[in-house]
Amino acid sequence: MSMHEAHERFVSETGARIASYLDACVRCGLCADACHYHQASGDPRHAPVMKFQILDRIYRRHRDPFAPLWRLLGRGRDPDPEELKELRELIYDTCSMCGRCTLACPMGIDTAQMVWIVREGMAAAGLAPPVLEQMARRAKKAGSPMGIDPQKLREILDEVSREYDVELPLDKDRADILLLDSSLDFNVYRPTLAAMAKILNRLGLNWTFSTRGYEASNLGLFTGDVDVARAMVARIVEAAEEVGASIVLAPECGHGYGSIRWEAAELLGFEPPFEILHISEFLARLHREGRLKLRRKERSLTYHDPCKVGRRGGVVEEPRELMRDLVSDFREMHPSGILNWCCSGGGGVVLLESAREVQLEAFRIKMRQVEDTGAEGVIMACAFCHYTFDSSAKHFGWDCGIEDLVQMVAEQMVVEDA
Amino acid sequence: MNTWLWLAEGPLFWLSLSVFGLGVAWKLTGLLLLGGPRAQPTPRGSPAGGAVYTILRHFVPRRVFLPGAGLHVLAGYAFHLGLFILLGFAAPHVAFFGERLLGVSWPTLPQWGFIVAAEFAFAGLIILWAMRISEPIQKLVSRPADHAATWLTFLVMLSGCLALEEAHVSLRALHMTLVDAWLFWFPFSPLMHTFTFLFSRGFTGATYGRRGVGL
Amino acid sequence: MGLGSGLSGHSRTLNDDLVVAPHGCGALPGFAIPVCAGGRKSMNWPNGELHGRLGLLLLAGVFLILQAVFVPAEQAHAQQLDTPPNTLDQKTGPAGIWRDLRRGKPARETRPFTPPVQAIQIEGEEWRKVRNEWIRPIGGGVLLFAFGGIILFALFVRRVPIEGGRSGRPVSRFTRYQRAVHWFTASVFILLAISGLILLFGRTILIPIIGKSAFAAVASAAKQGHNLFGPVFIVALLLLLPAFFRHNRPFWQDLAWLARGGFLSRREPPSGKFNGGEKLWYWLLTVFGLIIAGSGIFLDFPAIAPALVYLQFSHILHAVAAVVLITFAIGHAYLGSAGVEGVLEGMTTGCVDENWARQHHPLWLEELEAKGEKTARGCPRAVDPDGGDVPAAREAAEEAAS
Repeated sequence: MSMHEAHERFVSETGARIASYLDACVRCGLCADACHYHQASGDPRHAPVMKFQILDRIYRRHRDPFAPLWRLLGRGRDPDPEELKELRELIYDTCSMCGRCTLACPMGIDTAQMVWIVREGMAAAGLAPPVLEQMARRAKKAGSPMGIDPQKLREILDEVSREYDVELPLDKDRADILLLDSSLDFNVYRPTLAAMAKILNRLGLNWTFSTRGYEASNLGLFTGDVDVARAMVARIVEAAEEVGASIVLAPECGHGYGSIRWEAAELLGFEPPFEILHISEFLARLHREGRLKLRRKERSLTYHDPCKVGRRGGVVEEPRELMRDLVSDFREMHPSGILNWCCSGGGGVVLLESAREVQLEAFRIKMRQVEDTGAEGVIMACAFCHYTFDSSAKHFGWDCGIEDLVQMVAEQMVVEDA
Repeated sequence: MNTWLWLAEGPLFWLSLSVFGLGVAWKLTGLLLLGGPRAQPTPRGSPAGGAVYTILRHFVPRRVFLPGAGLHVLAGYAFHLGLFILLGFAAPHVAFFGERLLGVSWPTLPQWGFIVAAEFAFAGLIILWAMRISEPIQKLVSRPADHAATWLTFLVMLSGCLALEEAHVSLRALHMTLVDAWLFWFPFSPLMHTFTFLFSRGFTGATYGRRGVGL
Repeated sequence: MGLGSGLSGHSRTLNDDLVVAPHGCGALPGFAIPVCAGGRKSMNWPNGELHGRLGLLLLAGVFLILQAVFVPAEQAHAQQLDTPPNTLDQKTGPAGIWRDLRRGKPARETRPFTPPVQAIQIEGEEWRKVRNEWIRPIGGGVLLFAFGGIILFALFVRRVPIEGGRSGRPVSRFTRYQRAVHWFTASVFILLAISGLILLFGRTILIPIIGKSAFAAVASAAKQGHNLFGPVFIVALLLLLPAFFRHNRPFWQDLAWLARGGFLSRREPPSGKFNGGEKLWYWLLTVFGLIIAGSGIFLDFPAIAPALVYLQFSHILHAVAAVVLITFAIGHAYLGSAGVEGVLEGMTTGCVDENWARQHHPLWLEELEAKGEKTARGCPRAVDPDGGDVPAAREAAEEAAS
């Protein structure tokens, strides 16, 4: 880790796409209206456009087609450690890489992608937030950010199997489906883990967990540590190959889905040779094929689109296909779908004490959204969003009536006797 | 006076136009040659379709961001549309392009159309400038080049307006000199957004089109 | 499910600006499907004025386009003037024509939108006298007095400081829209003032300096610029006046504020959002602005004037209104920037320091506090004394708070 490595990252990651963004930005500031952290703090420094100025300076000096001219004129600047330290607030504390700003930008600039690149440089310089760095190291070493190594995984699966009376196959020789789950589910939201297993078992599908690769979450994507990010997806690919899986199921984990589905190819340098589906995508497919029948619950519920699953992942309609048959009175938030507001905790923000104040303030937007629907509760499809809602609602004393999509499917699926 | 005009419409103009053409070409080619990721994920949707969609979609702000973005976008369109109309269809411009550059002519605006287009363009540009110097975010993030682009464009337009009577060589020469400066500086300035906005929207559109989302 | 007591017990209420109005769900073409776009009110816009503003912008645009009606008539008129008919008795010959003119023989009446057949009238000479012997000397004198006055003010009264120094706590004062239309109007006003002063005083002041040939170009430039920006100013006024109407209603205490010398008095009389001086400026701008706009329309599109006397009268009104507005604009610009500490940032960042507000507009601050509308939303964390980086301001705020 060094400034030199950081610099290398900044320069090498600035390809045609990033250069286009840097050369298209006319500093209009419209991105700020879309950002929940800027809305919360009112601080102009928190406008998304401020987050990539560092890349702009480096680009001018090193990658701009006119870079020699700029160097001659003294334009552009290499970053110094102090500057990077100050940037932490903008890059880790007040950005969840949700991508909503891209929708507001007249140039369609993907600021979240640029924040990811800045995180890469920060991590290379050893400046990622310590709590995230620790979790990333643990993930690389043990296989999970919460230190759930294969042995611990076995224990957890045993516990869950006994408590919820569900079979959780581990390390099958061959399986069609490799299931992943996040440490949040393994440790905290175990009913969701049990629910996934119940559904797959009842449908008679040949699936397994694998100690080779089981963790869906990817702390490398939070810290910017590309080695960790790569290692996490590499394990999944190895595990899938080992069991001969044709489908890898990503659980309810936003960035986890994005990690293996959309980021893995670039990280690994090749397209993973199997189908990757978010659990809701997979269930919606079965539902469409008529293999998954659902019973409606008499309740009014709304749905929080996780940013990395919906706007940045493309899975927008599939959860709705399921929810229309799960809920008697389904209500859309405003805005929803790809325009939804971030839960305020993504990208690691909810794990940072330094971000707590602005994150909670930004969470008010979510409370308002949910309240305005008049629904009795809100459905989650991402463990991180779920965790953010849980901890923030507790702070405000807000009874939000959270339901989990996969748990609902498990409880409400209609199993025909053979 | 004649020497000045001859310079501004002659050697200086050709020099500036060349720098403009070569500079834009160099910048855009160089930018694209910076390359992309070594591998792409299996697409769910069409990258090309996504690129086209995003390029077109971002011409109109999403309703959820109104009215906050309203004045900015309206002023922006007033400026850009007014400018394109007067640049392309005002009689003195058509005469200049037709005679000196392209050899062909095309229908022009009546004088009043020229003036109305210019008024929209000025109103838009001045409002945008007013926002850039007063909005906290824009004040914080605007570079000297952003201010210079506004001012230089304004001066080009203003000098053109001042020469409307087309009766004084000095005023025409002033306008042409500023046009030359504007052309010369263009490839090195934020004015390049004229072309790069297509790439910026396109790359985002392609990336997310591949994921099956229209952003 | 409800918000529960925990929430209402919070010192800050849910942000009331975040009113979401459902707009219904629609399918987008291509990939992303039912997206429900809700309307979110921008932080900076007060209640429900969107439609009013959009309407005004549309009106303004329509107004600009309406020049299409005026200008062709103008061009038709210009063609007609090439062969002006002779309205006087052709048998009398040139000397007779001049004699009749000097005797004040009236021209034949014309209908609007046909070219006025008056090419010349004796009243023209009266108008020239009014312009050259009254408007120019008196107007020039008033303007010099205004400039001089500001210089003296700057030298002797200096900057009115904030009592007790800055608090470092910002208060939101002007919206994004208000600031944008203000600077828009100001910029166009400056362009018109400069070009207009050249048209009125240029011959006297500039020809001795730059010579006749150069002045011909300058005058042509000034005329073209003035004529083009005139209608733009009308648009700016139409946007500005409604945007600042609220809080500008005059009351008796505003006269008292002025009578007691405003902020120059030992204890500044308390004001609401706008003090007597600001209200005076607003209403002068309204009245004289409309006069200048109306007269300007005749001057820019003479074809619509039924007779020359309309143009002469318009010119006089236009010049008088211009002198009044420029005089007060000079005062307004100075007192709104260098003359008073803490005032300019209100119109640039939109936020002012709380101590500034308490000193100059205490009734406004009280009203905001009473209604729970006082906010620092959209303001930099602390308003910076030198308009520089926010980190510096943050330190200042921390210092002030300790």
